[in-house]
Formats: sequence, structure tokens, C-alpha cells
Amino acid sequence: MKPNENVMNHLSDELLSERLDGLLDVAAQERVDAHLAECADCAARYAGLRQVQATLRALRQVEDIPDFRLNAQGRPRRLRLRPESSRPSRGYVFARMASVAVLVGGVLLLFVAIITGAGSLTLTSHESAANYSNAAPASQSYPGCTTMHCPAVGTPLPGNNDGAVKTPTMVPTPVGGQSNTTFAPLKPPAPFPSPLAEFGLGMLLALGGLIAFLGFGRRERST
Amino acid sequence: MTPTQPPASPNDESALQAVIARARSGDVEAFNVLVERFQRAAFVVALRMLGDRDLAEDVTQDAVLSAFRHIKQFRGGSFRVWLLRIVTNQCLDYWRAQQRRPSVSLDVLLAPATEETGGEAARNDAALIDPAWDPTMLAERHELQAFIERALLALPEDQRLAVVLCDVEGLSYDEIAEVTRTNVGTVKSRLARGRARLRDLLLRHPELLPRAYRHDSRGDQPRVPRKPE
Repeated sequence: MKPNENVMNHLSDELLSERLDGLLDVAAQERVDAHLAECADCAARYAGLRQVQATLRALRQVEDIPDFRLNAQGRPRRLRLRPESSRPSRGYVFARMASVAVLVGGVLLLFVAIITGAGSLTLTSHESAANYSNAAPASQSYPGCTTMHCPAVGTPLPGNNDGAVKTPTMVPTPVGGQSNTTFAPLKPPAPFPSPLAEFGLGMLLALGGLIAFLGFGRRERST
Repeated sequence: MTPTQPPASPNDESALQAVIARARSGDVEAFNVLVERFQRAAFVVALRMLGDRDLAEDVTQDAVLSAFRHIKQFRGGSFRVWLLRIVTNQCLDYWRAQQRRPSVSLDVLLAPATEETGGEAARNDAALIDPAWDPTMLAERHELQAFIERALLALPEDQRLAVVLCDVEGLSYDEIAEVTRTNVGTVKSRLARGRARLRDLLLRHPELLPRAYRHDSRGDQPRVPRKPE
């Protein structure tokens, strides 16, 4: 390696670091030393590394090393300088995450309960009414009422083109000699679990998760 | 004062292995012999990694307790390396749990050089190439040590760990690779980058170096080191 090349191509910090630790082979060390003798920039960088290493070695000297031996029961002899809770354990982190999961699950359940509850209301108050509105007189009752009038006994209700009667049981009962028919109460299949139960469970989970989350957060802040 | 150095002789090594064997069988007194021997190294590493003495004491105590509970998992080799691995894992666990790192703002470290003594820094760079310059003399200076202590905390964790294990605790590259569960090439890279970063920070604070070591008295032109491309 020519002198000019030595100066032009600066040494990498990794090479200088290895030179500092004496890990280069003889040939490589000679080349590095020759470069350092000619290149002031690399020499300054190398000298800086020497200063850093020398100072770091001085940091090894620490006074008053505590006694970390254990007692006969295998427990520390010395008292903690910081409360245990200041160092969150893995169990603590897991509990915090679990509380978040419960909170999120409860909120999702609330949403589901609200959506299913609204859908149930829509079905009973609007869709059923639409199905029967063409045939039923103004005085008829809709699902949930005790009687219902229909102009054709045992035939599909108008407006229900697929021929299927939505009521689970249809019991024709003549009323006052008229052609109207009284049906048994229409009971739409109740969703399970009911929206009310879902709502209650969701509220319970959300509140529990929120309290647990806030409780853990308060414990963390207190430390 | 407790013994601080690892075994140096074969007899010492065989005695140490006997103590380890007793400790593995649950002998607390035998384990305490190991603690006495290596607690200084464990505490110094924790202290230089965390930068807080109280915290380092608790972390070291936890590491010792964890070592006692899991000593049956020790598969031989260097007990010091095994213990230091537990210490560093405890430090990492602490940082992860706290979701923060004991870092020092680089702005704080660089501020004096950019505002007040920036011009002097360049002259001091040249001072560092003085052949008669002895870094060990400067290393004893309290201000310089305090600065390097703070600068250590500004390093990324992996670089800080490599620097502490190598330059503070004196572990070999192979031992550092074992502690950090990496390869020697990674250790070299982290060590070089960590040292270079500390050096660059130090060169911006010429006030930490006494005037006797400043090169401007010789009338040389200041030189600013450049990083290789």
C-alpha cells in the first residue's frame, strides 16, 4: 500500500476498534499502524477511541458493592430499595393486557347486543306489519297481539309471495259468522342469547375491564 | 471485600466447579460463594447499563435470586458469563416493562460544543494525536468519567451492552457473543459503533481535557476527524 493510498482511504472505526483490542494479525496491524503514522485524521480518531476505552475501564471501579448473598432460606438478605411494584412483572403485564381484552370484548358485545336488538325491533314492528298490511284491516293485531284477522282461511297471506306463512302455527277460528279468521298469537323465534342478556353481559364485561384497566394504571402511576 | 476475579488457575477452576456442583444441589452456602465471587461484575454491569445505583442494586439482586432458582439450568462453561447474561436479561426486562430507556438526550451532550466551545473542539481533535498523550491519565478525571457515564446512556442498548461488557468488564468478544447470544461479527460491529459514538461525543467537549494535552500550543493546524466513507 502506497503512502498516498494510506492517506486517501481512511480506516474504518471497526478496524480501529480491533486494532485497539489487539485482535489484528501482524500484517494487518502493520498496515494499520503505517496508515496511522501518516494520516492525522485516522490517528485522531484512533486516539479518541483510546481515550474512550481508558475512561470506560476506569468506570469499572465502583465503591461499596452491596452484599447480594442469600439467606439460609434462599431469599435476599438485603431489603429492596424500590418497591416490588415499581418493576412490573410479566404477570402484571399479562393482567393489564387481559383487562384490555375483557374491556374490548365487553364493548364488542355491547355493539352486538345493540345491533341485534335493533334488528329484532325492526322485524317485529315493520317487516311483519308489511307482510300483513295488505290483508289485515285497520283493527288487526300484529305479532304479540292475541288475535289476528285474515280474509282467507288457511291460505298464504297476501304480500307473502313465496307461499310460506311466517307464523309457526295458524289456528283458524271463526269470529261472529264473518269470514275473518282469528289466529293464534304470533311469536317470532326469540334470538338466543337475547339482546337484553347480551347487553347486560357486555356492559358487565366492559365495566369490569375498564375498572381493572384503570386499577392497574393507577397502580403503575403510584409507583 | 469479596473476590472479584474469575478463577485463574486450574486448581481454582476445579474448586469453582465443585462449588457450582454443590450449588446446583441446592446448597445456599455454596451458591453464596459464587455470589461473593461474581457480584461485583454483576453489579457493575447493571449499574453501567441502567445508570441508576438503586435500580442496579435491585436488578442485580433479582438476577442473583433468579440464578439461584435456575441454577440447575446452568450447563457448564463460565459461571460469570451465565450470571451476566441473567443480569442483562433483567435489565432488558426492566426496560421493556417500563416502556422507556434510561437514555440521555444527545442535545444535552452536544450543547456545550455547539454553543460555546465549538471552535475549541477542533483544536482538541488535533491534541489527541499527540504521541506523548496518555489516555489513562485523563481517564482518572472525574468530569471525564461522569461525561462518559452519561454518554453511555445515550447509546442504543445493544451498543451499550457491548461496550460495557468489553471495556468496563473486560469480557472477550466470544464471551460477549455468549452473553448477548449473537455472533462475534455482530459484537465487533456493535462495539466499534458504540466506541465511535462515544468518541464523537467526547470530541465535542474539549473542556473535559486539560490544556496540557491540547495541541494548539504547538501551533499545529486544527484537524477535524472525518468518518471513513
